[in-house]
Amino acid sequence: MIKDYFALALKNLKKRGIRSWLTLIGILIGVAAVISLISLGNGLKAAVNSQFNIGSTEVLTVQAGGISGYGPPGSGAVKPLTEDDARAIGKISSVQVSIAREVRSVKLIYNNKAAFTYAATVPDNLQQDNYLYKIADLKMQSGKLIYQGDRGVIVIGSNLADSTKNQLGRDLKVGDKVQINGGDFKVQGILEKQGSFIVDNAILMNEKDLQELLGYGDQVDIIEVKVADESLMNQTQNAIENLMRQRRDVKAGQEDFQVTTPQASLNSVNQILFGIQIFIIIIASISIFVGAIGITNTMMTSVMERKREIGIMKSIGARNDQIFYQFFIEAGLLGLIGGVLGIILGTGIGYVGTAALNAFIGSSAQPQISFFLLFFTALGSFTIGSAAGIIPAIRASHERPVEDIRA
Amino acid sequence: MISKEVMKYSLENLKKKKMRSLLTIISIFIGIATIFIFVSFGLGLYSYINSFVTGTSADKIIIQPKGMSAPGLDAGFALTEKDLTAIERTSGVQAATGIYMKVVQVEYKNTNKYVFVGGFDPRSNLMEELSGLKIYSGRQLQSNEKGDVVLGYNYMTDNKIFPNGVSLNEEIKINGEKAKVIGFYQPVGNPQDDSNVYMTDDFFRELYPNSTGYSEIIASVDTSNIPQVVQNVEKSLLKSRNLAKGQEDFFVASFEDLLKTYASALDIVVGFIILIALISVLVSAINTSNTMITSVIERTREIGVLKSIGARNSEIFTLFLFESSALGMIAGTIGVLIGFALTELAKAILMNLGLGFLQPNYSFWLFAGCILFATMTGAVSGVIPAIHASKISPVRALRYE
Repeated sequence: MIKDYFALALKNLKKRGIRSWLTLIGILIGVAAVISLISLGNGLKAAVNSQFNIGSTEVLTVQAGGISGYGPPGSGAVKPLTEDDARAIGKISSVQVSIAREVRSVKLIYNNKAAFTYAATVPDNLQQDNYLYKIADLKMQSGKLIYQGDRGVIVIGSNLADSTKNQLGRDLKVGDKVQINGGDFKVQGILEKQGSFIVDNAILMNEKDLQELLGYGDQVDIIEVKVADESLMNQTQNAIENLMRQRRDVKAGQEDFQVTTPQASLNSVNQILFGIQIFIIIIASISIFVGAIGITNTMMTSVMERKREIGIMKSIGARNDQIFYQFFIEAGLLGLIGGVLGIILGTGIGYVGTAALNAFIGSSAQPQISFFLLFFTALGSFTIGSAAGIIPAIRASHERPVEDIRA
Repeated sequence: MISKEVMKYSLENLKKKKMRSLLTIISIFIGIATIFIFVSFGLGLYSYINSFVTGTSADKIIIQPKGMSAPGLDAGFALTEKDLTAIERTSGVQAATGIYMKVVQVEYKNTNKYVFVGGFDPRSNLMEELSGLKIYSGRQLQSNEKGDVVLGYNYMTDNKIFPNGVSLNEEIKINGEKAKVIGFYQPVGNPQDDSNVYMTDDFFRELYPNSTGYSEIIASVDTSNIPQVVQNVEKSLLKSRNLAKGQEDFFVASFEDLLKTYASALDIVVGFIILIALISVLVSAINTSNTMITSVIERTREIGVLKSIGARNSEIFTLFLFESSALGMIAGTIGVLIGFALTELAKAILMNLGLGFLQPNYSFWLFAGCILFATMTGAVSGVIPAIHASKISPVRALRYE
């Protein structure tokens, strides 16, 4: 029975060739816009998430309070953390290791040109180095990482090595000698490209070297804490907060520091991205809505045109509900075909767009188009189409056969 | 060319097919209203950016140290007294002043907040001229004055920075040091600047003796050739900082160029949103074409009759083109009105949310442009159906059922 409806609907759509196509195109464009924006949005999200570079989930970071978001960690801090803070945190029983790090703007000179980026310290302590590299999940493109006792050497991010991105006019290679804030350094390693703006532009150096260059005393920009076990995260976070409140002499609720997980910061970024994506998709959905109006319009015309036909069908025994379903399914089919074509076009745009995005910002995101998304979009298109057909279908079912045949 | 008769005939046809005309109009005005809303807010943001270009900012250039973060956060490459002197002596520069900036913790009635503090020399009015800062109440800082501060407008208001607004002559604590509030600046409309604390350079140096130097230098220059002066300043700074060309650890830009970079970022965002909204206009154009094609098919006989009593092809063409343009124009007018109503609603909501700087800006051209655009959309959608109609052969049309 349902098969008959579909066959009949398809035949009717074919008969009105150009008008059916124009109606389809409306839905097609709308669905293509939404699908491509969703897949591009996911690509963009993946690109942003790769900036966070989370290699381990058992990490807490401690930062001093201040205005953040305008620069590297610690740069807007009012009352910086200290080396002693890091040591005290290291003594908490559930803390495996507590690593004090500096992130500072520096000037690197090579080939008589200057590049401005920031240097992040690597502890002069083998055990901490091992943990740090495990947390950050760094891989080498060439050369080797910095460990305890490596002085006068640096490891650079992949962008700094690339003459098209480093503003130095020449590629930097392992073994090259550079000047950083007046000090002489040798490039010991180049990190693999991570697609993260932070890692790809970073300089890593021994903490003693950066201390000698900049002389910031016992100030610390960020403390990275590796927790012994994931189940102890909350407990450890509370313990660190208590300890820091004591050490900095502040009351609960007036903390001038914050303890967060990288995951938490990632989540808040994702929330913002999600909001933006929803906003854009809502605007794009307007065109699906407009396409649905087109379906209503076409179906209305169709009912008018086929008055005689409806009359004949009724007089040979078609029930009202059968007439209703015929028009209802015809409208749904318009939506479905438009939706499926839109999905194909949108997926194509999603892939091309993500490739372009990757080439542009140097990320390696994949358009995340799930079967789930495609299935529900197709189902949704049918629903929207048939919903747009409800009023015309009701009209058709209420036609009076006698008057129709006379028309 | 478009006679009264054509207009009457077309409009009557639209009226006759009420439902179809209505649906077509709805599909067009939705897109037009969306575009209207975003363009009006986009225009509002442009005028917000332009509001920073005050009558006295045109001759200003700004020198900032390079680094990975905002001025005042990064002490790595601060500008020195020597740099300031070098800039002052550069040809084309009329006056220059250094600004200190730092993030501090301010305390008022046991509430702490992190804000920027700016330290400047009150003898120079370059900073006030640049930002359009004017005293709202109290008085301006005097040279050498220590222990006193002037606050941005947001401090006066309850629940903006502190739960209770600060009053004149009250004390606040800056990183634990007491300071007396002797004045407030008028709002400049920018949430960042309206939250700043201002003090004299002398007080700043007293509070932060370890400060490495200025975060920013503002200079007023000869406006006849600003790009040349910018280059001159770059040269003299390279010399004073002992650097080779290509090693600049600072950048020099005219204030208006800096704003232009913001405006071009805004271009991209607004452009993208409008592009997406345009998709729905495209869909509605297809709907209109569809409606017109149906209309032509339905009226085939009528067209045949018209032709056989002497209507020329061009007249038939005009007839249908006018009809679709009229659909577009009616939809455009409704779209603009609905867009305007929604924009006003959004404005009120944003105002309540404290996002007062997100204000729409209307111009006559926005209204006229949207209506014109809708009319054009209608007209373009009608071209093919109209050509189709004009080419119908009268003999066959009369036979058509």
